[in-house]
Amino acid sequence: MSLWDKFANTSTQRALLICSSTHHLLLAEKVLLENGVTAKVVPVPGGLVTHCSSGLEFPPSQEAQVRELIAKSGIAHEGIHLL
Amino acid sequence: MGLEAARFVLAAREQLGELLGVDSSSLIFTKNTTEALNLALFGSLGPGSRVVTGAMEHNSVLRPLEALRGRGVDVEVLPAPGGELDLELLEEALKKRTTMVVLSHVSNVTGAVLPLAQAGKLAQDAGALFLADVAQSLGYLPLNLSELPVDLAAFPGHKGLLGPMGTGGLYVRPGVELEPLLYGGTGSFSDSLSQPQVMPDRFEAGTPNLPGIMGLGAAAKFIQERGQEIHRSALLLGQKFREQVADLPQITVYSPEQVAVPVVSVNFGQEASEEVATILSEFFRVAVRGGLHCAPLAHRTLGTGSQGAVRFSFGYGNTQKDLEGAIGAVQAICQKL
Ligand SMILES: Cc1ncc(COP(=O)(O)O)c(C=O)c1O
Repeated sequence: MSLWDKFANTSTQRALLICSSTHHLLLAEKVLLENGVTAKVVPVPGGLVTHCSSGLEFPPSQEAQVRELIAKSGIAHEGIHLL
Repeated sequence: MGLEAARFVLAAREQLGELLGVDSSSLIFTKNTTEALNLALFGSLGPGSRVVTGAMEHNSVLRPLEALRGRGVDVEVLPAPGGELDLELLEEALKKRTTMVVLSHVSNVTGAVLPLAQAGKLAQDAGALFLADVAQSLGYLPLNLSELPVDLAAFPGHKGLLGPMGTGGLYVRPGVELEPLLYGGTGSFSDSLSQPQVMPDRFEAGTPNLPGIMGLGAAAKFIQERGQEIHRSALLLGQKFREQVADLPQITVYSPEQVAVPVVSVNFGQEASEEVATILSEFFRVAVRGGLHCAPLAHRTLGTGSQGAVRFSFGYGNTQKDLEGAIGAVQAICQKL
């Protein structure tokens, strides 16, 4: 169990969107929240290779919608991971 | 820019000149330290020139130098054993004809103070220009630029000076020649198609950030009136924090025992520093900076190239209660390791 999970008490599966910069991360947060996705900025767990230390957590059930929204808004991202 | 606006800019420049102990005409306003460093580096280095710097530097020095390396500049980065500047290594490097030495006064990773005066003297004695990055020291440590062996000094308005974000400047010792970074209108010599030579116009083309500059002037006045006293309480908090967390077995401290600027960098066991930083923010309302602090070589030097570190900085306005909150949070996290 990661240190973050010891504090956050996350037991359910999470999806994590990794963006390519803070600008794109916060733009994605805005777009997702505006479209009813419950997105939240969280640290990227160690082990995931990425240049960004923060990602956007959202319910995996909304993955298709998230993919569509970020494609439509031209948000630069490195990928979506299921945790 | 109208005359009235120009008077405000002059007042701010004079205020800053008084604080730094230099003539106001030798000060150029920029949007941050990074722009000032870029101006100094690109303005004086080109194919065939050589520059010496150190491994503790910030990316605002290392990245311009990497770009300049691609343009034919010989760049030597000195190792920094234990995070310190080794003056003997510098002396050795200066045996080759060197155009410029660029070093930061205080490490933004550890808060360690580098021997600025000795380094500057070595550089100047070897015929090199000395560019000081005083981003972390200005406001915290006494800094009279006219009494130091410094040819160029890049500084922010937004750190120790408590000025507005997005302000800064470059000190250029009279007689030092630089090429501008930006060319354009200055409101002077307007019939000429060439950039004027006169300082500070030569380096300040375009409309200035008047609100920012006025804020910076007010900040310089505030510091000038109160002196370094204003940072005393933050220093004390930093010192106490360092002493208390150093005793915890899970904590590794990277900052010097004697805290000179209120920055204390630590790690919690092997935990990723960014993760700890987010936990501190989310669950304890303690704002710190994790990661590499834009200084990848400094972290490699300290052995934290992938883990980074959790940097606690105490500032003007922090209280004993904040200190206790921070220590309590560190202890609570350590208990879960
Ligand atoms: C040592 C050092 N140099 C340069 C900079 C860049 O400063 P600025 O953000 O004002 O461009 C910083 C800022 O973090 C720094 O700590």
